[in-house]
Amino acid sequence: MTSDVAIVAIGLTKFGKREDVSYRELLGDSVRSAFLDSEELAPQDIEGLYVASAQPESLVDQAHVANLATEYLGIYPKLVSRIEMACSSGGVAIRNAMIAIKAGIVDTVLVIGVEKMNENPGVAFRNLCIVPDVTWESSHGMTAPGGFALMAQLHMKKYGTTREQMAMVGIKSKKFGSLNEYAHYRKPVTLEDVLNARMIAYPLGLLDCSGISDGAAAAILTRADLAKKYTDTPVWMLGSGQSLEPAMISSNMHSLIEWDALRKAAGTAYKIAGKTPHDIDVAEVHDCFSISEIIETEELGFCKKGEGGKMIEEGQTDLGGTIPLNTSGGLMSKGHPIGATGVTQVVDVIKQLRGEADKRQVEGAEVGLTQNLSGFATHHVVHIYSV
Amino acid sequence: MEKFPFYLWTEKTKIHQFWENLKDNKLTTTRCLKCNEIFWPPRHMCPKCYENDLEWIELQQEGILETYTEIGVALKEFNPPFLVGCIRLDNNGPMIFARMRNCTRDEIILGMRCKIDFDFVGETPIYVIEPL
Repeated sequence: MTSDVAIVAIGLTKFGKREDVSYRELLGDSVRSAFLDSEELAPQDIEGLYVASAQPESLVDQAHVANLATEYLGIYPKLVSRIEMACSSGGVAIRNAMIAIKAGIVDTVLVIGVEKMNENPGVAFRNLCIVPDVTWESSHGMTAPGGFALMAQLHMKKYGTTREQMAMVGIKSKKFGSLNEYAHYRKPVTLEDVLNARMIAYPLGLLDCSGISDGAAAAILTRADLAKKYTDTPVWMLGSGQSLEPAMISSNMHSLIEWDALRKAAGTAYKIAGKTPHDIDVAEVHDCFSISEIIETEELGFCKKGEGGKMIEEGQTDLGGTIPLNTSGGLMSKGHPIGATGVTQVVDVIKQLRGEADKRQVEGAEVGLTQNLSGFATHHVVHIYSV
Repeated sequence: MEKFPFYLWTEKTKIHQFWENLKDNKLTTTRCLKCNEIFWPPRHMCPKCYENDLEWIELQQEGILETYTEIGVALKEFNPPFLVGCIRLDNNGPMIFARMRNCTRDEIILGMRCKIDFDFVGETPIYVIEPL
């Protein structure tokens, strides 16, 4: 194993409709949880802070949240920023923390992902509608599920992916959500439930979609040679990749179901990590919608292009399959508090690599992957980790 | 929808001519006079060479429906449900995303021929997709 950067502590809050906490309390709880994870870490060890939070100005009437965080946490890091990259803010924050450590600017960085969407669910929905290009897409009524539904239609036509296969992603997701005490949606569902759910954007129904959640997650990254000082169970960041394409869904029809940007980001991460898709034991991927997980299974190289539907149908992405995906419940069941998502993916993969995933544990998992996207899958960030 | 829920342009912003052309039932975009690149959507600068000496050209108004969906949940101003689609304009033209009208979900077939048509929301000119 060669790596310059280790993740030495992880923290998490319960996801859901969190009326019992304010934005700053939610953020603080994820950090408390991370410090409880490593007894040797002290707040003054934190030299860098990235806060991934996509929409606090309109959701909780708060701007300048990275400074709010330093004040609330009583820390004075020398590298501080908020990261906003819509739904991939968290994954980008992890990447930037890694880069800052590799650059030798800081030794130890705290990454917080946080979003509190349910104070203003109507605003949260509108905010998601303006992630697309407002002038050329949102102004025609475009929504987030609308864009992925356009992809689902094409994937079904070109590759024969079925409505039932997409529904199976939702069933698997809810099964894992029911086993995860941190998850927002914990009720298992049947094929009938998914197929009969309210139509959100044809063919995607309510149970094919992620919802509106509150939640926060935290991760502490440090120089590899300092890792053992803070924990007996460091997880090494082996590789990372990021790639994007034009933001408009109509700019590149090819990209609607062939996610070249993801292939590139993953290719970079695999190359740097010295790993192949076959080496990955467990992954958290960006299942904002059921069709997303199917396409990601393909583009991450876990199966041939066009066979993502077959993978879920055969149980290959479930526990016991060739590549268990989203054993946390993923975005669709654990929840998708926008800024928190990319950070909680890291937290959940690390739990797997440490063998702490309880009934959802992938036996002997040693190498993990996270994939976080934004826009209409036009921007991706992929990380690979190992114990 | 009486009024757009978003701010799009004013008569002072650079590409307001696009909406003026829509009022004349013309779908237009910009072409770079330096490198000849034609791009969609129109911009005030060429995305290839950054030149801002551009001219307006008229696009084809027919093409093939590449994909579509029926949006069931949207901002209330849009009165869901409604259909949207992506049409590939003829002669290797750009892909245009817009609302569809004068058809139901059951009548739509991927690959069917469609045209661009024009309308107004209040005083705002818009373009829509309609099956041929």
